[in-house]
Amino acid sequence: MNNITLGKYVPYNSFIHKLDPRFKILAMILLMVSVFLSFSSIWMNFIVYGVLLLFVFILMKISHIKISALFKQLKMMWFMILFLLVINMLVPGDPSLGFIEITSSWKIYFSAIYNTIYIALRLVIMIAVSMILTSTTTPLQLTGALEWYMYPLKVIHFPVHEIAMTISLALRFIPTILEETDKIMKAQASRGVDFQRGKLKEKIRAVISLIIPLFVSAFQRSEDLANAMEARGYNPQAKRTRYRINKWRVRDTLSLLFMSLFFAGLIVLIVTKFDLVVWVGSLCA
Amino acid sequence: MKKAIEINGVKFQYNNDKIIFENLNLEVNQGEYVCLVGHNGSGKSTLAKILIGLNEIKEGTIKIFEKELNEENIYEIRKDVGIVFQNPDNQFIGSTVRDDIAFGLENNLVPHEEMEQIILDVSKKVGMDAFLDKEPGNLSGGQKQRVAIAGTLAMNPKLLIMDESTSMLDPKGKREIRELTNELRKNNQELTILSITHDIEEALQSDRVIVLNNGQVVLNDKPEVVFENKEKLREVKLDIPFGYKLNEVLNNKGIKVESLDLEGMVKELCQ
Amino acid sequence: MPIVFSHLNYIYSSKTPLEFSALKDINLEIKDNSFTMIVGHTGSGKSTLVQQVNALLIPTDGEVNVNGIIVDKNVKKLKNIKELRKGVGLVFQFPEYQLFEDTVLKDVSFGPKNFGVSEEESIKLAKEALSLVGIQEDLFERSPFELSGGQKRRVAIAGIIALNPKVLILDEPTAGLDPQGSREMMKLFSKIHEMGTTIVMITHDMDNVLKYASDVVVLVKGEVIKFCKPYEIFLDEDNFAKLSIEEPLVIKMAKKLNKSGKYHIQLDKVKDIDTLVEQIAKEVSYE
Repeated sequence: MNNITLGKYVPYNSFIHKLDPRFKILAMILLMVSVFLSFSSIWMNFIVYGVLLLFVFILMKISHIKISALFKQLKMMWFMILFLLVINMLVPGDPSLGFIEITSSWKIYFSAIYNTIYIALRLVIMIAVSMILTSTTTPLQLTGALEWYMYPLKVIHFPVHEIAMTISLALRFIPTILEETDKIMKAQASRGVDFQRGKLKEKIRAVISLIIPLFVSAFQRSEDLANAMEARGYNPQAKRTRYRINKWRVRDTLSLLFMSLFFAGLIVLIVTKFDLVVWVGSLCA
Repeated sequence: MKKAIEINGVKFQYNNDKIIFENLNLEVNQGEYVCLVGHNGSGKSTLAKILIGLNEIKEGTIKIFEKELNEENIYEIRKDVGIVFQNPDNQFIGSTVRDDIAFGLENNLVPHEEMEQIILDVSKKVGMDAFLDKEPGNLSGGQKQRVAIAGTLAMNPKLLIMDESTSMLDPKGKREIRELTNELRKNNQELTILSITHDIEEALQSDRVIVLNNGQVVLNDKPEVVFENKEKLREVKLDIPFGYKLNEVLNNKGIKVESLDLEGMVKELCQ
Repeated sequence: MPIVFSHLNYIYSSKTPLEFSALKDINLEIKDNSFTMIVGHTGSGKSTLVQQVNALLIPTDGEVNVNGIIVDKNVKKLKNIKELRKGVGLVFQFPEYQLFEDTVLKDVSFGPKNFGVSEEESIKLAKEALSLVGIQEDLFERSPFELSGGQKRRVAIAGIIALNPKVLILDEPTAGLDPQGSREMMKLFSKIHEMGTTIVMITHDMDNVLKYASDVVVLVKGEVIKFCKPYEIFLDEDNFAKLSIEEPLVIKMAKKLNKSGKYHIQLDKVKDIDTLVEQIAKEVSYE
């Protein structure tokens, strides 16, 4: 259960680690959107994806994330990509991009191959981006940043603070509850419960023998926790000061400026239907 | 002398269930170290929760530092009272040691600028300053309890309640917390400590021992007086400290000794 | 049913950055009908060790042989594991967390039923186990969640005893109980031991080690440092902190008396206050 690497914070003191989590969330969204933009030509798409990929790799390097860690995450994806490739090759695509005729009734369209590569690249970039966010930002910082983004909702009496507190408590107790699940499963296994095999009826019984104790102890825990919180002066309605304050620094402004320019550049490319290949061609001619 | 706790004619029951306390009267002076003992189910932990307003009483009054506990001033009173509960896991609120200590500060509107220094100070006091960024999963039970103590110390309480804080710890954790409690007392004579415990050897070190049975105070005196009353202690199914027990068995065997501590008895036996 | 560990190693999260070697080259023979206690720091590998015995954790290397059933990394056959778990009852720390049925009797008979015992026979076994642990008949049809903490623990332990195991493994069974509850619990295990069950118990309580154990295993950082008679672990005073041992006061007293030169108390005869006083009385009467 300790093998969940995606979404696990890795404590380093890199530039990316130090950035404001609010900016990091915004940047992640911008990068994810960029991946789905479509440019004037196939080649242009590949060039932009290439640039994005390079950019993401540089960010990973700065954040001390090993490329191999990314590939470990992608392990499961290879099958999906292969599967997509096969499906794409079997169905008819856009003939204008050319095709190879294998038999008279089966043509492999180039567009199918491009589409598969697009999807693969998008997946790689998206997973890499979310990895960068989660491994450089603690769950607590993420919750804090989300709370900040939800702040406007307070106007319509949306319980922003309560939700943020609930999320951070949930994050705090996930490891504890996983450990408990493991313990209860072992205790019931000692009483002859088989969680892997058995008839449906036995399986249901096995699950019940796990779920009920888990609930009982979760209720006990939440009661204890509520007492501990109240005893330490917590009052959900009252004002609180904050220990974790996101301080917006010059580096955040600069990074935001850079990200905005980058994204704006991409938009300009789309609006002007700019095509690097054609442009270089016209220069040579 | 100023009173830390005054309990007058208190009645308590959980939703019309069995009555836990009826006409309970108790007092604790400021600066006193009092141990509250009694077997499981004697009402000890219920009393702790009553004192910080987590359980509402049916009758009687409770005064904490001469202020009567009621719904209006409950948050005010909680600022003066720190409590450390039994289960180390279920009272660790923050994701790291730092955040957990900060939790109470945030609730009490301590300005952000002052927090870091307070966290550093109290974590040093409990010997956890090297673990500030650790998560609860990486700490032992004893360490988690020390963080819980730091969390209460951060608010500078006048009364510290330990609700069986060591009962889930291993001997090392128990010793750490016991030593820490002694140190806190030594450094702050004003601090009142109410320790709810099964550890009879700890009770021996306190200023006063209160024995609770079925919601009744059966003994309430200096440890040496309470533990002399072995009949009563046996009747309410409580332990007797080692020295007292050994003294009794030796005398019953016809070996006359006077001392109640190990060293003294060794000396007498070797004469 | 002897339990023999040979060259057993256990590594958590093997081949990851979190790799942690919890048990290192364990060689141990727990004798039939013994009352063996395992002591050591939190995190020294005590719980990991006992979980190998009924294949809840599978050794990374080496094996444990429980009466001919061998648990090693090749163990996959479910039939064997079930047979093993029926013979070796494991009671976890705070076992009351495993209760889930709507009545006490149903919960205790849950185990036997899982191992293929008939409904009728299971109920009979459950009733026997409950009366052994001291749960009165009027509680049989109550919900286990209505009971007091100490009663819940007894019911949970009965749930394992109802399997009639040859070996009973207990992981800190007295943790969190009050002194009286813990004394009664120890008397119960002593009774079960006298009925011919091998008992392996993880504990921190050195008074219990001295009073009840026939053998003691001391674990330090996943290694067996000592495997000896109870009083022997209290001879090595320099290592108490390293071994996480709090010396029982009766032993401390006996040692002090011996040091004076006036007494020659045999430490192996001292089990509790009564036996200590017996020893003292013997020497006093010589004078």
